[in-house]
Amino acid sequence: MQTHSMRILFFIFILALSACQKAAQQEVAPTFSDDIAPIIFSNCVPCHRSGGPGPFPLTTYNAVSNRARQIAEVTASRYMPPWQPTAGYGSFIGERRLTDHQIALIQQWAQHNAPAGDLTQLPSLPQFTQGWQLGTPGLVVEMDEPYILPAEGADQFRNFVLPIPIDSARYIEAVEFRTDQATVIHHAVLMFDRSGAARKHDAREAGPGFDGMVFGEAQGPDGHFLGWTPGKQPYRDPSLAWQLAPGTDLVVQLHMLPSGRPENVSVRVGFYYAEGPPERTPALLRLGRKDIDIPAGEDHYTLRDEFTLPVEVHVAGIYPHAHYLGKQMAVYADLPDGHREWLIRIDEWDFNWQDDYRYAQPVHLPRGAKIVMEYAYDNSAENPFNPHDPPQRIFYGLHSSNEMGDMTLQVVPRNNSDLKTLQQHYARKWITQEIQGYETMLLEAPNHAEHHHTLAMLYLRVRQISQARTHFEACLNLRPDYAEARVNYAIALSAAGQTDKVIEQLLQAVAHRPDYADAHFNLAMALYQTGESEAAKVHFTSAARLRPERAEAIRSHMERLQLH
Amino acid sequence: MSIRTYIATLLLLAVAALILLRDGATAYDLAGRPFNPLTTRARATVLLFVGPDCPISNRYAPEIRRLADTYGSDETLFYLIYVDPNLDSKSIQQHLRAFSYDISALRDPQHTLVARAEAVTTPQAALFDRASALVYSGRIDDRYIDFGKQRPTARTHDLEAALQAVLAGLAPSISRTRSVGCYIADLKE
Repeated sequence: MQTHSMRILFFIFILALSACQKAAQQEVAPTFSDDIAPIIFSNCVPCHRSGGPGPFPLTTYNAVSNRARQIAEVTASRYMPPWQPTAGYGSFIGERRLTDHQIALIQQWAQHNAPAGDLTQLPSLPQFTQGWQLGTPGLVVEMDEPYILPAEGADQFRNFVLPIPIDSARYIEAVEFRTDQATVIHHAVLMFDRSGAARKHDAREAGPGFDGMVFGEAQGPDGHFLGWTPGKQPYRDPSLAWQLAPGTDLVVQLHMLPSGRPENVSVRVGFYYAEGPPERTPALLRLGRKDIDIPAGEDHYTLRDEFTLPVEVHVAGIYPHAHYLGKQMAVYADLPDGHREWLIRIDEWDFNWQDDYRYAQPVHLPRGAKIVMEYAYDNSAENPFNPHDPPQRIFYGLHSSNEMGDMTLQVVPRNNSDLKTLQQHYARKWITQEIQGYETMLLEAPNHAEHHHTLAMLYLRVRQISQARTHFEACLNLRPDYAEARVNYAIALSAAGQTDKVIEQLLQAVAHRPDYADAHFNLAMALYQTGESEAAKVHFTSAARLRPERAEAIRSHMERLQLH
Repeated sequence: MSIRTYIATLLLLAVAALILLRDGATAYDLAGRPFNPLTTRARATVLLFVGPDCPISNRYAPEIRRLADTYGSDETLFYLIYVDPNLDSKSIQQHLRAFSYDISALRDPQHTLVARAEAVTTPQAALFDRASALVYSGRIDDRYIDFGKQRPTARTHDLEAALQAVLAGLAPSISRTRSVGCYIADLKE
């Protein structure tokens, strides 16, 4: 009997307990007005608002509750807000990261069917600056006609060439990128071209811009990388202003994702002038390798590079870069005192959300600090981003179907003398790496004339003349009409004192490309040195005719050589 | 009425009620008329659940159009099902134009077709045979693996494979797959 009543008591206790739990659960169920709106408004709405780069607004209760489960899922997986660097491994400007507590609140809220709470008590929506975020730019360049992105297909990489109409050199302290099609643009990189090559390339393809991930001659401004991702805030830094020269073309490379309907894509770039030259000049330190050779199916291929600083620097920013096989990235500096300073860590690399990052406080690295980058790649069929099905052996290359492993640091040395020391040390490391890289790339493409040419030039720089000759000859066997390579080969032969062969190469260069002014000029010089003044005169004259802007200089040169 | 006829009539009524209950899935055409796409007795009926503000759903528009162009006929019917109860016919017509859809569109504000097709997300495909049995429900293809995770091109074309099976008089080898997209259950009036 006693046992029986005990049982009843126990039963009642359990019932009461579960009732309490239910009540407690109901009490703690988060509401939109009290708990969720503050999270969404400050972390999601900067992009997810009308006119923002997010694909749909999240500015009202209905908009958010209609996606409750989706929001719970993408925040739990940390796909949203998009922010790749792992917390605790470098501190950056503009970090977009929810706390574990915030993520848990969203989970509970979604599980409880997204309760509204008291919608009259909502926090106010943040205010956003319309138009240019940094104010009116000193100069705006834009595409003169939109590019029509097709409705379907794989991601597109396309470069748009925008002439910069300035008459004299200007210092730039900020650049702002704007587009009305942010929902289809994953990423933009801004480069500058003074060679005219990008413009020529553009003219060869129909419609605005030209396809591909290769910029050609275009480069970032001295010591800077300029990238844009949806939601990224532009910044202004007069202390690191850079020079923009007249005659430069802006090359904007867009990574675009088809939306299901044709989209008119256009972009605008604003330049903000600095009052004068910068106090200090930054440098870009690019670690990385080109001797990438990833076996098909390999799910953990590692790549490592390092560089020891010959001078102390402050690191202002970092741009890690790999393509679709990239998996993990770790970049750190081992300091002389044994301490390890983390520069970035990305545990789940996603090429689609690649970005460059600026440190909240520039990171001081002393002289002797060893900067190390370690990347891992997944070239298995399990990697959904793998551009090859089935997987293939992959080498270095600029296309999205090849792979890269680069990490660029923007560093600021104390003064110009330190900058010089740094550049000298870095150049030695760079050239060794380049040689290894091109040797590996030639394994993939042994008949790549341009690679042979580049490698020949690299060997020339480190004075390994016989290797240089081997690659010049390989290059010219593959492409006898490669006039630039012939001219460079002739210069190499001339340095080696083989004058007879010099003339032969240069004669072939002008035979293949009669409009090549530099070839005529060098040929004239070589002919003059062998006493063939009349023939030299002919080619000097051709060079002057083909390069009118240098005609005066060539004529006075001829006078000095007494060729009239 | 003999007891036998009476029972037979009752049975018939019960079967009819069952069918009605089962296929009472009512949606509305863009003129607001109730319409049940599962009563046409076509050889194959494909319902494609879509959402105009769901980016993944929109990105499938060209593939949906391709499938409808390739397989659509009097005997193979395609319907776009708009599941957001707050979406009016005018907005749907705008969406159809923007994405160049030439496919019959229906509204399913009460999510009756959603339930019948076991649809979870937009986009999602459901395939019914002549007997209005749900023979396939899931993704259109396997291009999307998760939010933000997509293959350069699809490896399996699940809806197309199911459709080809049904048109050949066979049962699809895979009848259910997981679709990736925006959750329909979240949509409320």
